[in-house]
Order: sequence, then C-alpha cells, then structure tokens
Amino acid sequence: MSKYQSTKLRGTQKVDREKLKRIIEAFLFVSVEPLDLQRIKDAAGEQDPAVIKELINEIRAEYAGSECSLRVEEIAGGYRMTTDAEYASYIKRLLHGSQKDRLSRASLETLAIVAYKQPVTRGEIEGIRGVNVDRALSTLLERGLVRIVGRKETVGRPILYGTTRTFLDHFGLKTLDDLPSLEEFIVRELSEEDKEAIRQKFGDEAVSALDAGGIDAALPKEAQIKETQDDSQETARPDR
Amino acid sequence: MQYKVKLEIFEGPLDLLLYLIKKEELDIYDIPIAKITDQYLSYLEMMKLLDLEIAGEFIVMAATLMHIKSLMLLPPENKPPEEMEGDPRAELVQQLLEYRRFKEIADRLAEKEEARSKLFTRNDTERPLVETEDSPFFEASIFDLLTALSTVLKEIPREIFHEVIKDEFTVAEKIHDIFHILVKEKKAYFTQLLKSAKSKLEIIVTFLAVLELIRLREIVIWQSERFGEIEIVRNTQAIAPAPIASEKKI
Repeated sequence: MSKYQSTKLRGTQKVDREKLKRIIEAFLFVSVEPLDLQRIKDAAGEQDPAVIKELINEIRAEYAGSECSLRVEEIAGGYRMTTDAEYASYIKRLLHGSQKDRLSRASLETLAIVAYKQPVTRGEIEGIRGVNVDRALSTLLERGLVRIVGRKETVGRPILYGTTRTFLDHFGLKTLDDLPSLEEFIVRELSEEDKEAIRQKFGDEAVSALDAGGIDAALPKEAQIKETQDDSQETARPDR
Repeated sequence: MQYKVKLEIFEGPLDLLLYLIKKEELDIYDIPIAKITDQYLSYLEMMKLLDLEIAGEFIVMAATLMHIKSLMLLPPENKPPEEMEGDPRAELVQQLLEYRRFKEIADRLAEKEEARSKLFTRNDTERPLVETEDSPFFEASIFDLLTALSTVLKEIPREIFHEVIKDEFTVAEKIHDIFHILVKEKKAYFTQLLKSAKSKLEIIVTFLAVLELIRLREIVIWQSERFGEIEIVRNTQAIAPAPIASEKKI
C-alpha cells in the first residue's frame, strides 16, 4: 500500500509520467472550456502543479514537432486543446459556415473601455464614447463577455462592470496582463514629424520623456491593469 | 414623405468628429475649429433632412463646437476671465484623444478576435457559424453614406420643374428596385444608385431605402478602401445574435 502511494506521490518514474501525460491529454481533449492547472492536478491525482505544467509543455512540443493538426493553447488562465489555425478554412466548410459571429465596432469599443477601465460604470463608459451604450452593454452581457462586478459607492450606487473569463477566451488572451499596455497607445499618437519638431525645440530628453509615456500630464491616470486583475480573476471562475 | 426610417445610429458626435478629422486630414493637436464646426453642422443638416433620429448628444456637441469657435474668435481682452485659461479646444481634444485611443484598442482586439476565431475547440460545433462573404473590405459607416450622399447632392443639376410629373417615389418601391438590381448583378455601387435618380427627392428616397435595408439586415455595405466607393451586397444569411455557449461542466 505504502509502496504504491509513494510511487504515485513522487510521480517521477518514467512509466507513471508518461501515463500522466496521456491522462492530461485526454482531459484536454474532452474539456469544453479552458482547464486550469489546479483542476487538472486534482483530477489526475498529482500533487505538484509544476509537473503538470511540464507535461503540458511536452505535449505542446510533441504536437508542434509532428504533423498533428492539434495544438494546446494557454487561454483564459488555463489550457485548451484547439485545432491549428492552418486548418480553419477546412473546418469552416465542415461546419457549413464561413465565420464565427464577430462583434460590432460599437461592442468592441465598449468592450475595450471595460477591459482597461474595469471596474467601470455605464456612465463612465458613455463619458468616453460620447454616446449611449445600452445596446452594446446588453449584447456584451448576453454573450457573457462582460459581467456585473458590484456597485460603485457613490450617489445612486451605479452598477460596475468588468470582463469575464469568456472574454479572455474569445480573444485568445491568457490573462488581462496579456492586453497591450495603454502607454503603447498613448505614445503612438505622436507622428514622427511631431516628435522631430519637439526634438528641435526642446531637445532629445523631451522626446525620451514622451516615449516613456508621459505625453500629457493632464491625461487621467489610467488604473493599472494589474490592480484590477486580481479582482476579476478571483471572481471570474464561475462566470455566470 | 411619410416613411420614417428608424435606423439606430450607434455612432455618436465623437465618432463624427474623428471621422471628419481623418477624412479632412486635420491635425488633431491643432484643430481648425471653424472648419470642423461647419462640416459637423452640414452632416447634422443632412441627417435632419433625412429625418434620421439625431441623438441629443449630437446637438450638445454642436453647441460645444460653436462655443469653442466663438472663444477662439474673441480677442483676448474680451474673454471672460475664467475662459482665459489655455486653449478652448483643449478639453475637447483630450476627449477625442482618449476615445481615439480606445478605438485603436478596439482594432487590436478585433485582430485578436480574428486570430482566435481560427482556432476551433470542442464546443465549437454547438455554436452556429455565420455565413458571410470572406471580404477584405471595411464596413462603411453611416457617415460614409452621408458623405456619398452629399457628393451626389452637390453634383445634380438644378432641379428642372416639370409640369405635372406626379412621380412620387416611395421607400418601399425603391427597396424593391434595389433588390431587383442586386438579384441581377450581385452587387451595386452606392453612388451609382444615387446618381441614377433624377431628382433630389428621388435621391433622398433611394438613400432611405438603403438605410432601411441595412436596418433589416437584408444588405451589407462595404468599402474597399477608406473613404472609397461604397458597395452594396445582399446579406446571404441573417446574422442572429450568437447563443451563449453552453458551459457543460465535466
């Protein structure tokens, strides 16, 4: 009994390891949603999540190396088995359709604001878009890309919105950190001519300062994604 | 013209301003206020002419623009003290910059959505796919349509008053006509449709017919390049809202 247990606990014997790898592979095949390490570990009876991670990477390497049309992607805080992008057109033919339903511009813009500003109220979203967002918000709620995360403790106690794990999955993101940082978008706004004009007037240091992301002191400081990430990740697990 | 087209315009005043800035290649850091105000107002005029529902925000922005314009025109001594601080355009420019940033982010998200959509997973068989034309074109916006309309309206010769031409065009008839054309040739060009009309009234009715068809999701409009010719094609499959993927817990 103890011999058996210790073998399982160590999990380093080659035979066990191979079997464990295949078990993980089976899990990935069967699952309809991203599986996180914790869940795989528990169902596989393995103690060490690092071992699971190692094995998953081995599976990925195996797939990438061979002619296999499958892949294992790290998405939405977990892992999913997917087909390779190369086969998309064939699969679309099989499924009698040419495209997955995409989001409209309005929805994408609203979603972008929620993703970067969360938790955020409808009023704050409208303040940026300059137009009513009811329609877009209800579409996003319906599709499970956005959820209610609470209420703001101000007059009227307006509802706060945030993104979901489904959102991460829909865009193939690992975590919210995977979103490009806001600074990237701020600096890009200055054209090369602008930068050159500034360089001539104020010297190189001014341009480097701008490149470092300080384009305009008057711009509202965007909440760092990391600060809000924990909140939504923690409560993101059961999406609905 | 009794027919009222209830097209919900999802775009707002900021969208229109950014559209104008892009189209006229204006410098967002030094916006020619008089020029953009005039353009903005002419678009609003067109929307009114077409009886489109103009959201309150559009009117508020019009007032804001005119206020800024007046501040820019006042000689410094005449300005009320509180308005003396800084550039009267500053606040608006901030708003535009911030919104434009999120538009860029939205573009980036669209790219990621596209890349992700090529990866199929187990539950993808449960979600129906949408039949659309694989097209590299841009989806034209209401402002693009309005731009095309204004171009055509400027070009028509002065209306010739006929004697008793009771040529009343109804939107319903125009819709029928457009369908006819789309059945014969798979696509139609927007400006051509408008130009084939013989009077200002007919042009407007044609425009409204196109809007109605868009609203009914019977057609889709594309542009092969920004601010280029607008194409109209039939929507081969009604795009129903995507059902929520059933999360079967294992």
